Amino acid sequence: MAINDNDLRLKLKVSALLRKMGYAVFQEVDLCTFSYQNKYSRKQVTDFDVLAVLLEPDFAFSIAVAECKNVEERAMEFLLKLNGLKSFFGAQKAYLVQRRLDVNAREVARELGIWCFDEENLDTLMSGIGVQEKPHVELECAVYMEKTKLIKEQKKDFPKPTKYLKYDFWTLPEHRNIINLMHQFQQISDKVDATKVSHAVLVHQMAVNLSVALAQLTGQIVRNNINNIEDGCKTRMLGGSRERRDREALFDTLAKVLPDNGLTLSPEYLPKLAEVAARLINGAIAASKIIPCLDHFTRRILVPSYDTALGSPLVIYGDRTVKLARDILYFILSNAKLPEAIFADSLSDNFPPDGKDK
Amino acid sequence: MENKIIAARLQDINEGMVRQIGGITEVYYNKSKRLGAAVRICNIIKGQDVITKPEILLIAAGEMGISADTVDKALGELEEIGYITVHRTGGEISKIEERIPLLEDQYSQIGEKWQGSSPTEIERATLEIIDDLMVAPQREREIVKKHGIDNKAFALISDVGKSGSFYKNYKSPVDGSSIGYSPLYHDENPEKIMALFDKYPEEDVSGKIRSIRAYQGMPVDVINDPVLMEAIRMGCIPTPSVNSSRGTKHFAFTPLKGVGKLEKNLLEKARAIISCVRYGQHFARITRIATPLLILKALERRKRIGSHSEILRQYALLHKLGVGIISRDPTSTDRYTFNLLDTPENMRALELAIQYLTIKEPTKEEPKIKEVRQLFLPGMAGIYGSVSKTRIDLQSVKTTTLSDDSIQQINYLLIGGSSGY
Repeated sequence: MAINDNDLRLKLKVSALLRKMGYAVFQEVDLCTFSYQNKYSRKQVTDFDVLAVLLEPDFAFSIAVAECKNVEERAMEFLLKLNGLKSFFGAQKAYLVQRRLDVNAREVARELGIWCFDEENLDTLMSGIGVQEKPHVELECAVYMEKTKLIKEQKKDFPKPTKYLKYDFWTLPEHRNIINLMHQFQQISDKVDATKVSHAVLVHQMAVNLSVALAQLTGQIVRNNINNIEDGCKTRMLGGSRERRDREALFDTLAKVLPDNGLTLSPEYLPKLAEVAARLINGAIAASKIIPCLDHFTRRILVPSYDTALGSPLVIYGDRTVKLARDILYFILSNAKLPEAIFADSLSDNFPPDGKDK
Repeated sequence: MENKIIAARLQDINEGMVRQIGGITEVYYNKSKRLGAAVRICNIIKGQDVITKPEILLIAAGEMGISADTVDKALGELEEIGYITVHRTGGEISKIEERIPLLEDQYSQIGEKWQGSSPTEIERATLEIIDDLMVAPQREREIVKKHGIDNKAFALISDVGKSGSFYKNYKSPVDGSSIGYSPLYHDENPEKIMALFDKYPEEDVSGKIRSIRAYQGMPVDVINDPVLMEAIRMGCIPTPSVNSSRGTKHFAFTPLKGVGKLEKNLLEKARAIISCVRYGQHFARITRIATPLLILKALERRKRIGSHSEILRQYALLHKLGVGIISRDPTSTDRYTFNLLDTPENMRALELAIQYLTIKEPTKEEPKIKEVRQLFLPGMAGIYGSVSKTRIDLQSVKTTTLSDDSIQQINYLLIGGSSGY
């Protein structure tokens, strides 16, 4: 497949490279903030090309950010932006990819701990890592194109979750993301049409992001007290010990003023959420690959030949990872009234159904 | 009956149930048979995530007396509950993915499923009678009257119970009446408890005793029912005592006896564990225990409680029973830690204590559960010899004697050989 947009071409190559290294890759990330200028509104701070996350078996995250530009100048400007992004996300690595990079920019990048690649450098590294034009970059391109085609319909049918994934997810803490995404699942549940690819893809994309937040939450529990999952989960979902205390005090006050008010302090799915976290901790090595596994489920909906080209999730990630990824889908299904058919292909070992493309 | 308790009783009687074939069990106990087997299968596969060799599950279940057909039906029930997903290839099970709750017990939903499956009146009455007999043996005529069943139905329950070794009767040496009891929970002829029933013929004695189940380890100080107070005086209700900062306090438990010396020792230890934490909950002078279950779960994980200044006296009973040892906190002059002695017996006693707080009564231990669970460990599948080892034998059951050829064939399947070759 020919790619005329050279920025895009570099972006897809970097995505394929990071994916091959085990990362789950998110493209075209927007960072936004909300401010009171005249009225409360969202304002874009910046956008960048690639954000990749790699979950480790102890539930630590390795993060990589990348900017890909088909220009020969302004390298210092991009370097400083990347350095800011690296710091904002606590990223372990940052890639600057430009058509040409002068030696001074490379020197500054090295000092900043940023990897500098021109296209030839990138091709060399890709070759060493085993990323090939066919199938890796081509598939990356096919998925990107299919995803782009669906965005309009997704925005029209489900504007809120579409915006949430694009603008809000990466600036919020994990407990807020879980609460918000679960709320969005519940909100869209009666409008989701399992026969529409755009709906299936969006719901799967939300599941991928939920898995990121859930893995982050599990990491917090592991760091705090790995043997006290239920309480750790509750504390984190209430925003930490101090926040939990304050909310409990507020709740107690409300309960006195408004007895039998039907209010609850924590979401009703908290016990099931703790169960999923316990499952992930119970199979930590397999759990470390759930994010790319769920992403794989999404990508093969977009490009049904994906499994044929790269292998099925069972082959790439193994039975246990696939099962743990499915646990997250079951968690979503049991707490939002989505039609089960929306995840049917991902919950089955037989994809595409009956051996046919969708 | 609460759903949790239903599932616990289904589990208790299932060992005897699955070894019975015949019209009666197939017609009247169909649901109980497969849902009881479902609880026991949960105990085997919980936490496995994926079982890629379903034949190992069949072997493990077979060792516990559950036939392949019953396993199949039980898996169907578990799939409907949402505890597992069974993947099939060409109609045969190729893989099982399990999602049995890790942090909560698996009983509630299975009990709910049983309730929703429209069990027969005979099944329902059987479970109620067995649960009643868990508290104490009773005269058969009173059982019939209390549970509102006719003599024919009771005869049927009695037959199945006797064949399944979960119900027996004997003639009272005092008045010659027929007394029913469950050999799962009691020895024959508990004289004191029968005397208590005789003393209060108009009262629902077993119901009153059972009320203790709602709060096992209830401080005796708060009990004021005359029947229960008499039961305590007569020694029908176990009331272990703990002596610490507020003097000696007794705690009441339902009078499950446990069959065999080893089980009785385990129950004594389990009750002692509960009594010690209940003391800390109700009578401690400094920092009372808010949630005893959390303390016991922490003890299970960390094998230690403390440090705390009251541990020296409050946990002395456990020290005396060999459950653990008390040591001084090296960083303090007046604080102590309780350190659990990590033996299989003590861990089982702690497990029973946790069951006292969660499902209100300890369930019977599956005699082979540890051995069959080991079959699922990586590298263990190829060393199958015979999993039968010394164990608490609750009943004499007929198990298939394995010839060398059969063991060889099972070994072949376990190491990954294909069936049919």
